[in-house]
Amino acid sequence: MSTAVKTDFRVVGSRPIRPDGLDKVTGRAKYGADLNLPGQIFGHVVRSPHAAAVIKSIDFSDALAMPGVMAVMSADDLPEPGDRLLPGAEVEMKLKDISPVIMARGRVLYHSQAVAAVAATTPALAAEAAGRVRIEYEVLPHVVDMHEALAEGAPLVQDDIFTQGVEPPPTVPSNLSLQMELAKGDLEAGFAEADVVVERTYSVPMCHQAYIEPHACVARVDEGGRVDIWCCTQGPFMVRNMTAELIGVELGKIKVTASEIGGGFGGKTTVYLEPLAAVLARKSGRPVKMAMSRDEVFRASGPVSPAETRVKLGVTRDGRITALETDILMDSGAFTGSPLMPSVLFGNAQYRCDNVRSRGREVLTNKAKMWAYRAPGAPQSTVAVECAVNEAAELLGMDPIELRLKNAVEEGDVPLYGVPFQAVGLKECLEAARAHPNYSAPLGPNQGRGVACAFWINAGMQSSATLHVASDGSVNVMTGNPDIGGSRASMALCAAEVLGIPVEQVRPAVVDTDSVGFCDSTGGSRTTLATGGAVIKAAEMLVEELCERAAAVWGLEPEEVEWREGRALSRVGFGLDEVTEGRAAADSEQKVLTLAEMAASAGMTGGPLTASASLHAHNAAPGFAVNVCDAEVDPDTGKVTILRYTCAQDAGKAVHPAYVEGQMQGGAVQGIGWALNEEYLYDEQGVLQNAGFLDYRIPVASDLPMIDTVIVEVPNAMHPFGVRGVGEVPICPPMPAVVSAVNAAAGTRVCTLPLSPPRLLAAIQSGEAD
Amino acid sequence: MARVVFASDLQRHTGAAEVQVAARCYRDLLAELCRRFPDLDPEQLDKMAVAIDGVIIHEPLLQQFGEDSELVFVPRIAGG
Repeated sequence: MSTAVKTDFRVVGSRPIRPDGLDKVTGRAKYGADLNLPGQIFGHVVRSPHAAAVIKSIDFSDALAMPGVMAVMSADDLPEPGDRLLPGAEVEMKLKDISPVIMARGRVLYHSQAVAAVAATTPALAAEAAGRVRIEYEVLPHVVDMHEALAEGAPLVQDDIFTQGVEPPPTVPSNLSLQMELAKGDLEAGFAEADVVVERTYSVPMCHQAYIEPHACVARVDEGGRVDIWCCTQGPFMVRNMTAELIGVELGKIKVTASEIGGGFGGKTTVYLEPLAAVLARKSGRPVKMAMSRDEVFRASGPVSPAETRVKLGVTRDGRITALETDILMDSGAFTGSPLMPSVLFGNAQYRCDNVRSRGREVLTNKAKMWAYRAPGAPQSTVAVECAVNEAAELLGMDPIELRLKNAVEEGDVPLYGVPFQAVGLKECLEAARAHPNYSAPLGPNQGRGVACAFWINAGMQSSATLHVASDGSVNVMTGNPDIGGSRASMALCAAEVLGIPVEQVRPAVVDTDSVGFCDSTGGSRTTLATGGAVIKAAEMLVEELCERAAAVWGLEPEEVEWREGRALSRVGFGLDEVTEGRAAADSEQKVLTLAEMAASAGMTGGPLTASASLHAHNAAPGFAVNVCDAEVDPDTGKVTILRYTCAQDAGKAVHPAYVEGQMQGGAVQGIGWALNEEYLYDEQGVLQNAGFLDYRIPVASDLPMIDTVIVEVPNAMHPFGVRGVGEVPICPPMPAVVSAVNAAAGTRVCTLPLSPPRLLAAIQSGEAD
Repeated sequence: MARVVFASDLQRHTGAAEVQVAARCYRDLLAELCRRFPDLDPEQLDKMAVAIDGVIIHEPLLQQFGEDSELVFVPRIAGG
């Protein structure tokens, strides 16, 4: 599929101030916990103190006896979940694997799993009542380490999981829930051809998306059973669908309004509190607000799969990759549904190589159900492949960017997932990184440089948009995708571009699920591409109608009218060139109607001007990114300082370049944190020990240099503006860039992340690789 | 004849890396593949996307294609 790709833009590519900026910097913007309704009460979740246990009984009598306690609930208030499939972060999941995450049913599988909930007139009273819910448990053995979970005799996390992907199907249950392998070519022949072979195992820790805003919602149920939910989410339509299934209410009776959102990164593509608030509201007859504490966010909302990847890479003396093998072990928490598949498929997709094999195994442990994080699964395998490429470059005495340029994919190359690439910008990104001044900056003692490149597939999916023209010619653009990374501005730019009006004349809005057609969630790097595509399509429909109306007013045929610069122009007596170049404007023969004039008189030409469009976007194109990191290591403490950081990324066409740069910078910072400090630490009882930002260390501004960005634009031939998704690939290259830089600076080969000061110092002092 | 390319995970059911098919639409394609390869699980295929001439279609039920088209079954990836 190819389409006419616009290359000459009026406003796309400019940097207007974001429409939601003033509200956000003044504190007026309303986030999940900011809505308060008359008569509102407060919900509180009772969570398991055990990592594995049978729930023998739940006694609410003491809690219900407290004045002000208005409702209680357990899994008995939810429908029995079955095998029906619901969309998950990466794979469809059975309802019975999602419902227990909302509320445990008969058995708890991880510490802090929701077991019951209460609602009371104040938050303090609700918390106190939660403490008076008496739950009798039979504690079971648990396992939180992947390797221990695979050992013979390990406690079974679930007793009805049989390994998928093996023949013949196993007859005994196991913590090994899934196994997969994809391959092409002849791996042994590829390694035989290589002059240099690198083999290492890299371990990536369990982490959290670490969005700043905790999950929060308010739910109200009216006398007719209609459910109204306000919440912070990446997908209000997803909340509507999942809540309907989980609490057994008709989907059409639920309306969801997305608040502003303080970060999601994939972690808000599911529900935790919304179904509980709806049930408590139904039972109490009062609106119910629920908000997670930071502690609950860490313990009980979907963290990110840890993984261990063995990589083996073969390269010839002249720098040609002849064989590439990865073997990934990924922790899925207590339920299946980890991003193992993208980890297996995409960690190697940046290189042209005839002989590739990638294996994956998914393991269950007594930890919270893992969920999506930007480019789910890809960073965990990319780190191993990219560090191996850097090590091969060292052994060959070759510049690491040069080695990558010799092997980088381009149009026509076929990755392991089998779909040939159309035009992609990986080589352009590598050239841009090499040309950046940071790449030639001199390095001092204890300083090192690391390079990495990476791939992410990007999604399209379903979107809708509605445009209304007000009588003054201003335009409302309504979509159903929460604005996480500046999408209101992008939607406004797309509409303004097609309508030929100033972007300030467009008012973009994120509206509730009753007010616009279905939109898949804001995620998968899809919003500017797909929802922006719906806006473009609706704006084009509007232009067509404007031309028809102008033609009717002037007594012309529609094809005798052209829409340019926000005006309808008659072509009578003139050729198209004269009209489009504006040379005919002074002639009295030509007729002109502005958008404002047409909007003011819309009642005489057919009624209000409005257009809606929906689509299932099949035009997503992959993204590539290249990062270069310079780091300095203090040999006495193991502390790492990031000196310089450079990101180059192919955006196809950057609709609002500042927000593309924001995505690149944000991904780099999150990857730096994952590489250097972020990790979940469990004790022997399966209890998380660092559930807060004091002990779970994310980078702050004072830890970082300016993250320099270079936007590369190789247009996506399938999109009318050439757009590619930009939100996820930025998190793929940082870990290997940072790890390679740090190891180069410290003279170590530490392969277990994070490279925290104690770990790095131990490696420096021992003089050994791990 | 359109060409269907199987990644290695499906090859264990088909025994071939690629096949030629007479089908011109997705519905006929599924029927033809399941008839020729009884080990293929139609439910598994139904959960996958299909790339038709390089364009990945997540829900291909009504898709048609040409006699020179290349089709590849790929996992549906949503992202985060």
